[in-house]
Amino acid sequence: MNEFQQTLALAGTGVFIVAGLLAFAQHYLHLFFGRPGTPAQVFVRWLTEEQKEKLRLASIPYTQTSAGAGEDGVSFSPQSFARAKRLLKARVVEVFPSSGRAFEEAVLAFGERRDPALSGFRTEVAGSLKWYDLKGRLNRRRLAALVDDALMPSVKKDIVVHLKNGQPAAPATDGKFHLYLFSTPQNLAGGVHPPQRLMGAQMSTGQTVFGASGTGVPIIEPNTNFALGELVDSNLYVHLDLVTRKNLKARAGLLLRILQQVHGELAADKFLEDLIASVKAENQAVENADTSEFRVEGEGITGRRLVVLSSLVREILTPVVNSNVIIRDCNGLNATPVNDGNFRIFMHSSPIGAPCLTAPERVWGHRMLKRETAFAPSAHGMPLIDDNGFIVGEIVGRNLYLHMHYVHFGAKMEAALAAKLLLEVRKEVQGAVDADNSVITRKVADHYVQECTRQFNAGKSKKVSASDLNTAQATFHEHLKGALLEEFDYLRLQAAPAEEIGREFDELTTLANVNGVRVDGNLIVVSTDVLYCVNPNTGLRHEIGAFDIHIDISTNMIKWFNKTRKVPGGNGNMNAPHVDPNGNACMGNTRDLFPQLIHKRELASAVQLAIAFVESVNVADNWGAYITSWPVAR
Amino acid sequence: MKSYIVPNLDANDKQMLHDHGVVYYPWDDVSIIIGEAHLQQALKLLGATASEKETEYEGFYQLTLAFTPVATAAANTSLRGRQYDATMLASRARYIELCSARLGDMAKQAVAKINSRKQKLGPAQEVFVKNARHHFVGSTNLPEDALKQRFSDEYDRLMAVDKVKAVRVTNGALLVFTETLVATHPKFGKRHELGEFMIVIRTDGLDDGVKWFNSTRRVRTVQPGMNAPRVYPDGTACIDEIKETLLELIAQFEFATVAELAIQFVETVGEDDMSKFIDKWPLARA
Repeated sequence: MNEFQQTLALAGTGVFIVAGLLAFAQHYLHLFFGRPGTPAQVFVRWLTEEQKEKLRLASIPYTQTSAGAGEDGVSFSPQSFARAKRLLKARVVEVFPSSGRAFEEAVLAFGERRDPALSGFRTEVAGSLKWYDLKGRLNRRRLAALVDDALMPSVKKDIVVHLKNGQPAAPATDGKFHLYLFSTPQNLAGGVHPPQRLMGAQMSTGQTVFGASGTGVPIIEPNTNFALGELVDSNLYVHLDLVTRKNLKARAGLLLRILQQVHGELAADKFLEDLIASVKAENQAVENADTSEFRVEGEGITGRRLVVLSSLVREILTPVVNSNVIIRDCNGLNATPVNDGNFRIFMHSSPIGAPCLTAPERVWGHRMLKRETAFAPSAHGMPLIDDNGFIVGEIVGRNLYLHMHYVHFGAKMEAALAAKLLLEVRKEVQGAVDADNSVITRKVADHYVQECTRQFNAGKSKKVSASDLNTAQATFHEHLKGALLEEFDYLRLQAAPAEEIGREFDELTTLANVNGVRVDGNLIVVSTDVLYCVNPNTGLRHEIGAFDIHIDISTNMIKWFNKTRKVPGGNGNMNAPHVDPNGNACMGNTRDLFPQLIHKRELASAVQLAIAFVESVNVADNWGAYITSWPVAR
Repeated sequence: MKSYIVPNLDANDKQMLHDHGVVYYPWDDVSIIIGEAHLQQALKLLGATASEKETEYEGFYQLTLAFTPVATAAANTSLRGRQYDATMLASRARYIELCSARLGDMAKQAVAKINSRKQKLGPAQEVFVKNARHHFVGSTNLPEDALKQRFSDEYDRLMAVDKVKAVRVTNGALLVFTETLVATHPKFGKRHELGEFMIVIRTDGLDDGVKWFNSTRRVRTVQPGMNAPRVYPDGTACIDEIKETLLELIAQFEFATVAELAIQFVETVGEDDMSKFIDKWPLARA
């Protein structure tokens, strides 16, 4: 190689290295030094108060900010972010691009000290690889490490990761924890489209993923209420397709966030501890009473649900009920109130009645994970009413009836609702214990005045003129009247049992001038005696003839056929002065009456009217003038 | 002597049978055993027909109840002294069949109509009650003390309303607990005991404004678990023009009159298709 070639090779290598460095800088260095033309801030969510305190002590500047409604976090300058990362021993798992926002979002994993007791457990990805697939092995190890870091501290057993690629999988019960990616416990038809953004990550719009099957604890994205996955005992199903099956490349940031969310659900003792602490902080009355002498038992309720409920009941309720508490799942059946010294909680029950009400989507602002039919209040006791007027349950003596389950899985969201509910129960129970009758009467009177004053003040928010009120009242009145008639129609229909219809038939046969009724197909044929009509001009009585009156129920139409004679006049050979040769009548302004009566099934009236119609004449009418053509009766 | 297992009864059904003197024994949570002597009465009270099937236990028969009206058609009995021949009997049966078939279709249409109306009635009701409240508040110029005194007086009036046993106040609602309410059959003049009630009055007038819950018994009439002849299982009343009056009174904080009217409403039965079921409630003791 000559000197020129050596220089050229050197220059080429130099260019290659510089290009490589530039590419590196392009990808990573902006997180350390910032980069012109790109967002100047790095957003991080879900830092704990402890971590923020560390940052404050280390004088690392950050700003409390939000990536959208309900997406609170902190933002750093790139330089501060680099320092914060070192301080918190964090590594960047993925950076979500700014997508038009003023910052990029970093998903962090924290190198927490691992409990040595966990070292005996392993996390592995199920399935085998070709011996030469080194890249595959590397990606599997990465995926297993990600899952291990996020879940092992709360799972505390061997974890097996399954790449199900859209296939359902039955929950396993082999003592291990199973993570099924892009799967569901039940093979439900159809899929759902995820929202555009989930936990800060952009989602592709055309993708179809699984929805919640209702089998286990749904893992909910708090902002969109989208079910990211489901926890069925020791099986976690992730509904989204986050790992490419071919090369095992994962959307690591989003997967980590989902697993972190699951970690929160799995660590029931931790979230209960936090919840109880916050209940105590917000409600001074919930003191640290010693309740160890009382038992909280479950009947027909076990596992996580019982753990959650019994912990909350022990902390919130036992100090005021001062007795053992028995929680029974009645599953929609009635339960008789018991007065044996214990305090009882009947889930999805009432002393009387059956579940008949549609459950609201939220109770006290807490979203219901599973909606079911609720009991109406029995009115036997004191109802518990949420801020939208829904009667959540009732306290009857020492029995609390919950009109729905409220806690199906023992999920965090359900625990928060249960805590609120028990606080309300506590207030009622305490109020009843503290007060005698005269105090109650005074308290109720004061409360009444307060409530009316509150409503009165709320009514000041808007001025409404008398004419606006009149318009609103007129609209309401019109709809009310319409609804009244429609409900009346419905009830009339509903209330007509078979025998009543039979009686109606009997009435038809006993009507004056009716000598037979027969029903063929949709046609009711009423046969009459000979009918007569008086000419009002002459006073003469004309014999019209005996008729078959045909009532067609399918069309609500009526026809008259004269069996004795037909007489020319008006419009050919007429069946009656006002009935044409085809049996159709010229009814003038009573045209709508027959269809209405037939439609309403008032057939007896229709037949009476039909007979009366033949027996009367309007001589001023073109057809009616021919009454004189009909024979005069003897 | 045969015994029958009557399935799928709720607590209200059982209570109603008990109230009418039907003797039964519990079989499981939702079924009872009933003797032959009480079968017809029980079926009549339940408004049901039944088919029976033998069970593995001797003398015990499992019933299957049907609550939908069935065209039982032409019995061979004569009505009003008229003896029907075979043709007339066939016509009668066909007449019943024809009208029953129409009833089904018409009921569907009626339900669709009611649902469509409810979609308009609900918002119109909400606008009306809110406007009525705003208008009332805007046209009331009482100083705060006088206002509170007015509310206090109204509370005393509420407590003095006949048959009001107790009142409780929760966030957004007044709960009026009544003594046993009684209604008189319009045709036969007999007094039927409806039971004690909890009347829930929403102080903002929303969600129908007033709901009635019977705490003594609920009865199967047009629906299972009716709170009163004209009060559905969810506590809402059948549509009645009294609703407009009640909402107007709520908007004006006239809760004593609301309670009075609400009590009157359940105690009054007319001759409409809902009221006629008053005889499903037990006779009141003299």
